[in-house]
Amino acid sequence: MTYTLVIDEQTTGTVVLPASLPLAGQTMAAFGSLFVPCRIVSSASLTNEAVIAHDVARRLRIPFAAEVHVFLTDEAVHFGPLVGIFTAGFTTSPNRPVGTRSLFFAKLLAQQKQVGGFAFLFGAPHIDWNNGMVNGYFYTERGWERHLVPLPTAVYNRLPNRRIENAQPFHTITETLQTRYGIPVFNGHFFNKADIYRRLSTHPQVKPYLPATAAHITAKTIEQFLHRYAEAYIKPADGSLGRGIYHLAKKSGAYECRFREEHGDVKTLTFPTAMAVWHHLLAAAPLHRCVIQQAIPLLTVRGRPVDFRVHTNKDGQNAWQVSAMAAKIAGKESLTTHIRSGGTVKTLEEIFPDPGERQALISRLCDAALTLSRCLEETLDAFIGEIGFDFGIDRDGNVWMFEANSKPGRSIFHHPKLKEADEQTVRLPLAYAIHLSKTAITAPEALWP
Amino acid sequence: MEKQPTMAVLTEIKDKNEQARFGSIHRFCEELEQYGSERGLFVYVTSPSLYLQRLGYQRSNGAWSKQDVPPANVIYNRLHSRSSEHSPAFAELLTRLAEEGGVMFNRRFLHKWEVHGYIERHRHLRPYLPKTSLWNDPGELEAFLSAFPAVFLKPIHGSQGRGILRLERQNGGIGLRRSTAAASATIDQPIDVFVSALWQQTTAPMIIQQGLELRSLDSRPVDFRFLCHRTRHNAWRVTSAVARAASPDQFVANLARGGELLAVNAVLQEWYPKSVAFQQKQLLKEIALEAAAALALEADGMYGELGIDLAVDIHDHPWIIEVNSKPSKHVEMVPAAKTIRPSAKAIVNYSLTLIEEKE
Repeated sequence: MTYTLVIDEQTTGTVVLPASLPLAGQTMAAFGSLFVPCRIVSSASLTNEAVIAHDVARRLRIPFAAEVHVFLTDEAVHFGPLVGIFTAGFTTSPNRPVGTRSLFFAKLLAQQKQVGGFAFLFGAPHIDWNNGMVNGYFYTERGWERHLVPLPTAVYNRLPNRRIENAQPFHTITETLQTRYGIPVFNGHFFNKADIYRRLSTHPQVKPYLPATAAHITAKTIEQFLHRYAEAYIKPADGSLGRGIYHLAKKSGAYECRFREEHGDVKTLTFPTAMAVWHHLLAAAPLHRCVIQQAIPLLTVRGRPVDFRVHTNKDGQNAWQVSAMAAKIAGKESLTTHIRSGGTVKTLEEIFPDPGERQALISRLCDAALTLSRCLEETLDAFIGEIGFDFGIDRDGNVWMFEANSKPGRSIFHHPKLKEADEQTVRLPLAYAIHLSKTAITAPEALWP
Repeated sequence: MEKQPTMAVLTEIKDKNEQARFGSIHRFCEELEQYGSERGLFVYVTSPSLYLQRLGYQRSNGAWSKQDVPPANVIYNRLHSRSSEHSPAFAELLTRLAEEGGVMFNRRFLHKWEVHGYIERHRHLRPYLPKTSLWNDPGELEAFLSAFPAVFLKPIHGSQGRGILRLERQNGGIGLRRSTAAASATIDQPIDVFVSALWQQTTAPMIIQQGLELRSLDSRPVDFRFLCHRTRHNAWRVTSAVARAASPDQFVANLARGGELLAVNAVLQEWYPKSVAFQQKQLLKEIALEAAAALALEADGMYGELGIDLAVDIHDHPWIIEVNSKPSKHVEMVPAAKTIRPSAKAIVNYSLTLIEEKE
């Protein structure tokens, strides 16, 4: 539950809490990484308010009154959480601090009010390591505001791309926050397709969801895949959005390779041997950074292949939830159903009007998404708050996982009927941050075994 | 043979001596037809009652003539009178359209109070919404007058800056300006007396809005009109952006009230160094797109074209002033003969997208 933080201008050196909170001789108030000694008292006249003397609030650097969670340890009463959203690409404009992504982050930060606590946006230049403070960007009813606050209780990594994420300074920062300060950082890394596949394929529970995939593409692997599966895809191991994908098929002895040219047209080339395909690809694509994957004969709707985007999130209770689901119908000439290449986003209600059929599909997709989320979390030594899955369903009704993204795009959820789901996917990371904050404060051994 | 994709423009039509005129959008309809034929979209112009008779105006050799027309896959609603949207013919047209499997975009006029409510549901846009209330109790206006140095009263169904009142506390009395009058008047009455007199006189529903200290050019307040169109996958894009400076004796910048059309960059660079002007322009554009997407998500019916009016206050804070669901076509820089405005292309492309998504 949350409490209304009241900053009392009359009193000094005191924090008054509702009697319902079991105090045990705590002698400090805390906010983020800051602790301030003060008198902590209970009052039977308070129910859902926490009254904090103005000098204590000022020394704790609480930026403004808000709805907060209260976490108790033996020594201190923590007000929070204080969630830092870590990103890069800051501008000098106070109204548009992260350029084109400013309103996206505004939307995310505005959800904090729904879950309680404080959230702010920050980047590498805003951390004052000497004093353990951050000059963060808060989004209030007045718009963007800067406030100097202590180090956060949890960090949500929203670095914009893989290249920046792997750059040394950023890597060091998240590493330092986590290992030196014990601040859990979630969504630390973009997934790598080959790595994900390797980790998951050792799990008997999820193996059936994985199309055969191989990382080292040779003429021989091409030959094997096309022999076994008739069709296969070659795609970048770390790319998404359907760019740079090749579709291979073996048709009456010849090898066919389809791909989308830069200006958008789909082109088909035919080769006599697998070796010839491989030579062509070697010149055209960064093959050492690609994987080859078995093509799945997809379920079709009105003759067009459909795939599914399922978004899962960790919630405030540390449990995985399916937060959003949508179908993508391929365009007339599409290699995959990534919407950039001209497919259409539909809700499951729109394309499966029969409730029985729809429910069966939904429950299969949910099972797959939740099982895969749990296994991925288990195999990766990191906090993961959300995963976007690309699934296919074959003509026998089996679910296949094509991709798992740790930082899934969201444009698919702009569909009018997915508004609630879209909000869920924005709100749940903040709810998960509350769980991580609480655990890091009250039971850190559970986070860092 | 497959039926050709068809779009009908729904508007008020004057037909004198076999010369059909489509009011303020006449030229725009020609551009729609011209670009439509390039893209394989059959475009005709009709009214609710004509549509029910399966009649519409078709263009051939530069002239519009009344013909039998096929049902439309998409109807672009450009009716300019609210009463046309409440007519039995319009209601019947909607039923007919639904039976035929067609869709309409820009379903109806959205009034100022509902627009405010829709955008407000999107929390991240609240910092850009002036504080606004429906005036359904005289006391509400007094509260606004004591909270803000200036307050606007706007008819919720008003357009083109008509019927707007600007109120300002002035040593004990009230300074009052109307958007239709050049001069302001000072009324030497206690606020409560003035407010209750005004309440008695007012018949149309009004909103009360916090007055803003807008940035100006030569003391003429400026606002910005971003014309936004929907594309694929519920995304929006800005097809034209202009600034408007109020006429020297006016406080609203609407062109119908003598406002002057200016280039956005010129205005922003008058106010800011180049790099700041760039950031401000991007921000205005992004807010316009978010507001358009928010409205399209919240309002019943489908919307593919919205005019978003924004302004910037003296603290450089952007504000959403209002949204027009039947935006004027005069804000786009006047096209040279034979050219097609970006908004006409956007409407044709969106119609084609709707037809394709329906398949």
